[in-house]
Amino acid sequence: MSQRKQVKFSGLVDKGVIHPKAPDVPPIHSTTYTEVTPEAAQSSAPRTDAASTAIPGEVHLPPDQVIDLDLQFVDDSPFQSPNRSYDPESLDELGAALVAAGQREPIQVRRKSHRYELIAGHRRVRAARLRGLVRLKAVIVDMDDTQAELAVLTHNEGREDLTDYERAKAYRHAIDRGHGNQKEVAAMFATSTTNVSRCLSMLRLPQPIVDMLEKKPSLFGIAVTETLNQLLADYPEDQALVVQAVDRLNDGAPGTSIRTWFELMHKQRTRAALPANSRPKVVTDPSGRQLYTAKRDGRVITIRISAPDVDADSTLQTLLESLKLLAQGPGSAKS
Amino acid sequence: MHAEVLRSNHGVRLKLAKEFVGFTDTDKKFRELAREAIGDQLIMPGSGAYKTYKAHEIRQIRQKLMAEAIKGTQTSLPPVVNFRMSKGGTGKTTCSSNIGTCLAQFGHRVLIIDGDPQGSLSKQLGYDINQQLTHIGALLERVAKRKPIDIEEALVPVYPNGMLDLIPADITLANDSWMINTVGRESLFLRLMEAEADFFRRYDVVIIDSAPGTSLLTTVFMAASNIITAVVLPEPQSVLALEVLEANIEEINESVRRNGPRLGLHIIANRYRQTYKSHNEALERLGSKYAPYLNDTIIRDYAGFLRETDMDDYTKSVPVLESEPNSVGARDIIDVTKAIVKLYNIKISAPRQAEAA
Repeated sequence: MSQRKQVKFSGLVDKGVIHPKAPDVPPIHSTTYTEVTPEAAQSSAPRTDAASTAIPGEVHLPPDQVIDLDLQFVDDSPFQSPNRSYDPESLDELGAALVAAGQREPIQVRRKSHRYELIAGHRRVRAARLRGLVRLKAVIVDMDDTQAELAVLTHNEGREDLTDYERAKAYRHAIDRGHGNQKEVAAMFATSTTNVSRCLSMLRLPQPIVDMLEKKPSLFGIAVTETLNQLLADYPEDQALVVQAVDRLNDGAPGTSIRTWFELMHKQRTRAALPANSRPKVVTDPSGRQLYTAKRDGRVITIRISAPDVDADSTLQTLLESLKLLAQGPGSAKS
Repeated sequence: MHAEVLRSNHGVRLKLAKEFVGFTDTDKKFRELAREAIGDQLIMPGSGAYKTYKAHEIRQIRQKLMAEAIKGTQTSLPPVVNFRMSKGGTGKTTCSSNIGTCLAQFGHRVLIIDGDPQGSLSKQLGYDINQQLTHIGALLERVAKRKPIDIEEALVPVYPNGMLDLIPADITLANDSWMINTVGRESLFLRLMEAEADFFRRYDVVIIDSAPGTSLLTTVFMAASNIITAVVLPEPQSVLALEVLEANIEEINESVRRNGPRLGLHIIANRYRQTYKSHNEALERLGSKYAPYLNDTIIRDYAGFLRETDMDDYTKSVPVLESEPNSVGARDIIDVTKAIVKLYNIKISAPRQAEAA
């Protein structure tokens, strides 16, 4: 499959395969937005001055007030999961939404040594930077390190579109940072211990499957994880086939089809592994000439008459006779 | 006009047809739409085998789908896509023939002109050039000398229903001595298009495959286009040669296009191998210098392009999109073509009276 994936110039740059310098020719299709929508700009116009004249770090601005914050003073939170991935496509969509519909909710930041540190809004800040927006509406909150860490860790939990895999990573991160065992973390995220442990079991799936999830966190959730864990326990030697079954989800197969598909494939494989069944039996006459060949495929028996001079009708008659005898044998015994 | 259609047996299967039409719903709904637009979907009733979709059929489906949007649109002169590179062997001809067939298969009407005396494009599209033919040079000469032109006579239909027509070339195209004393020769192709406007309006796009190097004829073709499409290998010699082409463009912008719209540049990187360090280095150089002009899709090195032309019998040559539609090569061509449709604003016009009938 990977061979089929196209090679894009931008993809090579993103992956770091090539590092072109910024060209000095003017771009043909430049879409750089330097302003939020007019309405958004208007509504926050009076505050713009306040924000731009305020030196970051100064305590002139009351907390919990919405200001227009210059993004160059904003840093990522050190508490967010270090391997959190940002899907470029969804960032692009978010950026488009920011430009088209304006910003609905302000991002949250706290002061940190003459700069601002993000509490909530990591994706929005990235999307805005991609679109060339220089300011976003922000709320400054007053938090110490512990509060900030808790806020960053739990902030996304309520979001509807958060996938189970992303939740699992957040739980793992919280546990790793010493916020207690599964039970305590469950309380912290206001969810059940069962949910935490089921989510965490996603991270223990075989590496190829976790890699797929890393690429596409929405691939499947905890329900499918449970099926997978059962399959892996039942057929420990068939891990590769389980991985294949998951890979089908990439092509849009429904998660509910995994077990059926796996079992079908497994059956086919085991059948293929027993060639003795399908090897034809040959009947020859005393001189060694091939007369009949018989083959069984499942519950279908095929008999081929190889010699041209053998009469097919009489052969069938004989066969039927012996079948009748066979049928009478156990049948008569029963009655 | 050449009587025989070269490739009447072309077509793509359902999956690609859906992609080309831009249809995202179920297969069943697509077949229903297709049945309304072009008729029966089964090859033989009761056989269960579905048909392949030919270029003109996809056109009809798209026209049906976009009936409201394209109603009453004026047909103007088509955009000219000129494949051009100062260096030889970079894949201009391969790109022209494959992108040409792909555009036709998208449902656009394509006129493809072989501007190379080697005639390799004609061969690749399955035309045997060892016969009497009228090439583009002869047509331009008649324009210059104000003689009557019969452009239909030069035409070789590659796909039926005018979906892909070829003006072939042979070695006699190399003789451009008549052009030396021609006044205003740079605008010759534009003059041909204006003189034969009715003919050119039949098409949605004109593709010209230029010869390598820089000659009078290549300049004529360049001046006819608004954006030059350069095909470049990710190799040092090729990237350096692009600078020569850039100088050519600059020259035209300073002379013929002094007052008109300036000539743009569009670059396709071809025959790329990700494992070659030197390819990545050359690509990096290409990006550093020309990133905004670069087509984002890079065509990978793919042996299928070499299989296209039959060495013994030209008429058996098959473009990749037909012979290996699910291959890496076909995928790249499709993606590059999609970008070209956008860049050149290639459209589909409403069915004409004759077409609808």
